[in-house]
Amino acid sequence: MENVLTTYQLKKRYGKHMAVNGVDMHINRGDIYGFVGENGSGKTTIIRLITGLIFPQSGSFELFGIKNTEKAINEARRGIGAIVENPSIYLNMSAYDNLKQQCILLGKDEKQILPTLKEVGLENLYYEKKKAGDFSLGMRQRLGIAMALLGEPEFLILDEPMNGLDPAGIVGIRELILRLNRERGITFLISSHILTELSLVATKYGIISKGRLLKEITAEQLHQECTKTTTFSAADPNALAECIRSAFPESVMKRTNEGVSLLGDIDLNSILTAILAENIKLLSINCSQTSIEEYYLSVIGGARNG
Amino acid sequence: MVELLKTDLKRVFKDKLLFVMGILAVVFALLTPLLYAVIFSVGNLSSEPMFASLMYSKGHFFEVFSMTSDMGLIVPVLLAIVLCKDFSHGTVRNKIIAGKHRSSIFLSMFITCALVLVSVIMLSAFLSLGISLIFFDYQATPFTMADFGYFMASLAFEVLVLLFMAALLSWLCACMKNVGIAIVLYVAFTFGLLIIGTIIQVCTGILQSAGGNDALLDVLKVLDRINVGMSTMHIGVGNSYTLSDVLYLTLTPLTGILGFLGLGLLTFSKKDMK
Repeated sequence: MENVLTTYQLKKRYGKHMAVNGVDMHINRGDIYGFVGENGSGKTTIIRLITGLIFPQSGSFELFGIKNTEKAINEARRGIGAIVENPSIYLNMSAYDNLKQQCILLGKDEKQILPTLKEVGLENLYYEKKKAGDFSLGMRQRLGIAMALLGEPEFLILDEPMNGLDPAGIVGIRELILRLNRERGITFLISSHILTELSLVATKYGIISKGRLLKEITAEQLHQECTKTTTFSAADPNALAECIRSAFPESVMKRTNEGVSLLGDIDLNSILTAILAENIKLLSINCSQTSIEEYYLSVIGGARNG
Repeated sequence: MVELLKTDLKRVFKDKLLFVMGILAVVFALLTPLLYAVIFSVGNLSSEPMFASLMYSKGHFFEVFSMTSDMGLIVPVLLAIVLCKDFSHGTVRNKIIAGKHRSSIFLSMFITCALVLVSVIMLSAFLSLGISLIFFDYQATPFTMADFGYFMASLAFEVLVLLFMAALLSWLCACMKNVGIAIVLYVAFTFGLLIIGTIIQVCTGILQSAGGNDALLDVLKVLDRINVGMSTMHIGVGNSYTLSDVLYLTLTPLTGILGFLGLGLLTFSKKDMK
């Protein structure tokens, strides 16, 4: 799979504070990469490094296969669109004038303004003279995305795009992200600390804390990690495991010291019947389900304890 | 580069502060000659050396270009606010993310700054000349073709001083953390040049009256001439320029322009952007 972004031991220091400390992240074409971390964990700093707004202390990154130290990196950046912290818009200009500025900058035709406004649901602003400074936060976010889309990017970076939005705004941005990913094949890097919201769009996650990337995990893997788990412990764990494996060969089973854990939904009655038929002495049955937040906290908690 | 220049000029033209600059240029151009006309009609100030140049329109015209004149201070301050909006609104990020070179971004900022500064100051200066001609003669002697040549040469030297101001302002706007610091440093630098220039002129006067060391006087003279903040003392005040005048009035601001642009390019290309 083609790499859109790969970082190698990326580091950035502000004074004595190590904002980014040896980050290795991997984003493939078509990914919606959810960048998760608490406030001040280094998400925005990494985004700034990638977009060329700041320079790394050490380490490097490759954007569309081009290293950040190469001259061609500026050309490569034309393939990205980004909103870093706040949408970068001229507050004293209308939506049309803002997009016109971006068209001039990118050497694009002004004819693209209306379709782009339609894309983000702001077509009613095409003839509107209202200044961007008077827009709601949601409208500014959408205008920011429209400006980022004008360059027809292959890779869109959105830093906290849901921040300050009302529920309808959040749904709108989420649907837009999914549509652009599906229809245009745009790769996304979305930073957020609203995990549940991110889980509705992300296909891959990077969990960052205190400048370190603790884990990269696909949505599938995360789903497995967060799925319902039923743990059986028995006097004879081997017999228990053998019994379940032979009676329910399609079940997803994990061996533990005391018995087995079954992932996902199970038919408890059938399993108990099979176990009792084999005269296996059960010691306990425990049902649990990890939420995404719990998983995230366990990852960053593990890092803190470690 | 052309795209950057177009976007920079457009954002300046869309900014209300440009109209404020234009209005101020007109107001000062109207009021200043009018006030001096009233002052000269009320009191006999023609013998006062500090008012001598203002007895004629030529003096009013070239006074506008001074770094410490009303317009010379107000326009750069307002321009700094306009230019720094690119950083405070974060729109400079669009340029970097669009793959534009930082050196091009800085140079575009300088060219925009220079164009606006030269245009507004010129507008004020020519309006001031027009209004003052109603009340005063252009100069003590009749205007000849030679005077026209001198006028054009003086104008060229003044443009160089304005470009020096634009380079200084662009460097400060691009490399300081906020507009407040940029403005304070610009004003401090301008008045610093004026204070240094005044001290040099006072010392020269004292040494000359005391019959002081010629070598030291020569050094003070050079220091006075290379002070761009005082260059308007030497532009448009006579009838012709010597070769040394031309060299001082071109090389000094040019060195400053190149110096500030070099500094700007160096610091801006390595600056971390918010």
